[in-house]
Amino acid sequence: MRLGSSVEMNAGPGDSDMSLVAEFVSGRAAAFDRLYERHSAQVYNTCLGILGNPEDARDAMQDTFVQLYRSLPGFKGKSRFSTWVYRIAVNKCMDLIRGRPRWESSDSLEWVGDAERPVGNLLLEESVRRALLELKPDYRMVLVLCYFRQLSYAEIAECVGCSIEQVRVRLHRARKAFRKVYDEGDRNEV
Amino acid sequence: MKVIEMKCKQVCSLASEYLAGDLPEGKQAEIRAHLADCESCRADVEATDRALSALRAPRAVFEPPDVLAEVKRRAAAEPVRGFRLRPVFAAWAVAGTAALIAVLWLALSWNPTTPVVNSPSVVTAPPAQHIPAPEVANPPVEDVPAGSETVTADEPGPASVKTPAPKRKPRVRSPRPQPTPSVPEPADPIEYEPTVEYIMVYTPDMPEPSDVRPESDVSADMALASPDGLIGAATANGYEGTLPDNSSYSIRMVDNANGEITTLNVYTETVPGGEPNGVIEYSVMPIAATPDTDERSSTDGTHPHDISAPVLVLG
Repeated sequence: MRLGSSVEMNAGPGDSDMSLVAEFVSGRAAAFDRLYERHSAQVYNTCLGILGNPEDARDAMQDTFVQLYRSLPGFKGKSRFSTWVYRIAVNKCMDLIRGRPRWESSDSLEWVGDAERPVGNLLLEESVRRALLELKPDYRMVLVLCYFRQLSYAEIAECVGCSIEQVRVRLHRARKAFRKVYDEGDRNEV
Repeated sequence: MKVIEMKCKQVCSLASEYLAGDLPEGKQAEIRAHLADCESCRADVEATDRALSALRAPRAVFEPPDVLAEVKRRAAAEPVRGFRLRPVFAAWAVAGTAALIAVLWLALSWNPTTPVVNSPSVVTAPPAQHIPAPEVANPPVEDVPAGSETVTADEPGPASVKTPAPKRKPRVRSPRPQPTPSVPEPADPIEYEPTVEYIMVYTPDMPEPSDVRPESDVSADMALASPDGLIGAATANGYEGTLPDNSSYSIRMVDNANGEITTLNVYTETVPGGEPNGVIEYSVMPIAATPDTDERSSTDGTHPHDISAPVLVLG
């Protein structure tokens, strides 16, 4: 049973994220710029995976870093900084989804072709993202965190705010749902 | 190693875990053996493998927009929002706080010389009993940013309220948890408000009882049965959670209509068919403490990870 790596505890003094946090807290505002540069791509791509369109991902990313800016003084380093950032990002994505009267993701995936680092099989990329968008947000979220970000069960549990066991259950259901939708998409294309 | 014959539906339901190597070796061997002989299951597992491989394939990376300036402007301009509780947890917080205030009031006003009347249907509320408010914060991860809401509906709810039985006069019995702060009149029965520790709902496509293997599968009878209306009596109120797979639990339930107490021992395992697959969700209510029984509330010490109990198949 894959439990995943345990969450990093008490980031040591050599951890560069922690150093930047400490610098920011002590008044060096430029440290936040460094943190932004370091994590913005991952946050944006995570939000893009969950929300399915660049406009919403941009909003969620912006909300995430605004929250981060205001919450940095409270970060004690008991979990990995990136995991903490993902947790905020996931929360902001779900806020966006819940804030809509009826969540509708964009049907257009034209933006998939605009990747900074494209992959060889654009059709595969599109089919995966299209299938993900058919899933309910909870399932999409755990699949993105597990397969796009390669987080462990423990880290996903921390991001999502549930137990590792619940992550396992949700991933099980999410994989089943994804497979069903992906299969249907494959058949339609043929 | 004895390889137990598995059914197709069970194999297919475990396909993703099998492919990920997440199952115990015995189960992996069972599935391998089944796949060796079952073409249809092989095709199903291969289809699952294709889908999961697509997920695992390298992802395109998209350049993020530059919003740093906007972030700083907003961070400086926006007021800090307070932490908001989800309605269900807010209700718990309010109820818990009210209960705590009531208990403190009782503690201050309780006169030790006041006679205590004990009867089979009456339980006296302990005047000095600390009932911690249910935990409404999110999981044990610090640095939860202010203004962040909980993520999903599946999150863990408040922990079970555990109160140590206070030392009292022998004739006084204290139920726990005690959601009702007021001391009832001796002649009036206490109305129990359900304190739900786990909510479980029946998976519609559970196998027939005869298909359930008592040593490993979730008891379909438990979910199906409830001949005394136990499921009907249970309410979904507050905490929601599920029991994870491959675990043993002891669940104690009470039928509010007749006070009957039932103890259910459950072993959870993914079972064939239905959505959601395998995890039975059920509701649990506190048990009324009565002088002629020694039963205590189901919320005392019953924790999923503490119990190791044999499986009981009802019916």
